[in-house]
Amino acid sequence: MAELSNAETVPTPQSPFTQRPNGWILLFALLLLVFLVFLALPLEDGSPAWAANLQKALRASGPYGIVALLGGIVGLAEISSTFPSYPREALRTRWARLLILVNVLAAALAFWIARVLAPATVDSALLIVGVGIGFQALICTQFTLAKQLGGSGGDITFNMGWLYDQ
Amino acid sequence: MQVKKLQLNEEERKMLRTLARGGTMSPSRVSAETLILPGETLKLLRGLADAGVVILRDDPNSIDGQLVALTAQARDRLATDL
Repeated sequence: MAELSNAETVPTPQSPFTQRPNGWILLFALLLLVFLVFLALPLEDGSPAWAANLQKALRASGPYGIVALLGGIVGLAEISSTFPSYPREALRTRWARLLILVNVLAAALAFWIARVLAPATVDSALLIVGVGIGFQALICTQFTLAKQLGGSGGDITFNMGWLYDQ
Repeated sequence: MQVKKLQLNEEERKMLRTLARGGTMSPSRVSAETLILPGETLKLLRGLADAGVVILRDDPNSIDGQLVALTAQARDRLATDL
């Protein structure tokens, strides 16, 4: 009979309520709060020009940031739902981080394309939410370029969602 | 049980490296750490169990109701093969 090698007890997945908060997450939340306050508060006339220019640039890039964040959240949710028992272990892998990064970049790119092509009357908030969440339909689509008629070969396809297969 | 001659694909190697590193674990943890879909993971683990490389056993304390571990013979064999 085969012997088990150094069988260990299986660690029980920890409940989120018994874990200590991660310092990096708290720092990120604090920085985000400062950032949002800086964006929201109107700068007075005596404020330095660089501050006003920075605020203007950040406000212009805000929609892209929101769309990118939505894209990242969608990627994160996809991985967590695929591996529901051990989501943290799955998210720690290199491919998972790459997938989330691709989602973030693809969402920002899709939003830029949408802004160029969309009519001026389109509601901005709707466009942000629509692209941020809906771009996944494009990224997971497989395009068939040529179909095999008989024979043993396969179809020629272009699959944008190859990363999900990793 | 003797370990049969090993001809492993990349996914199986990844799973065995994970088991060698992490010890006994549930199949869904193997799935998460290798980022192989759960259904595919279980199918591969069953194949490896048939080959005598791993042992799959029932465990009520496991999140999947099962645990998987390398066999001692496989661990020695894999040290050179992997």
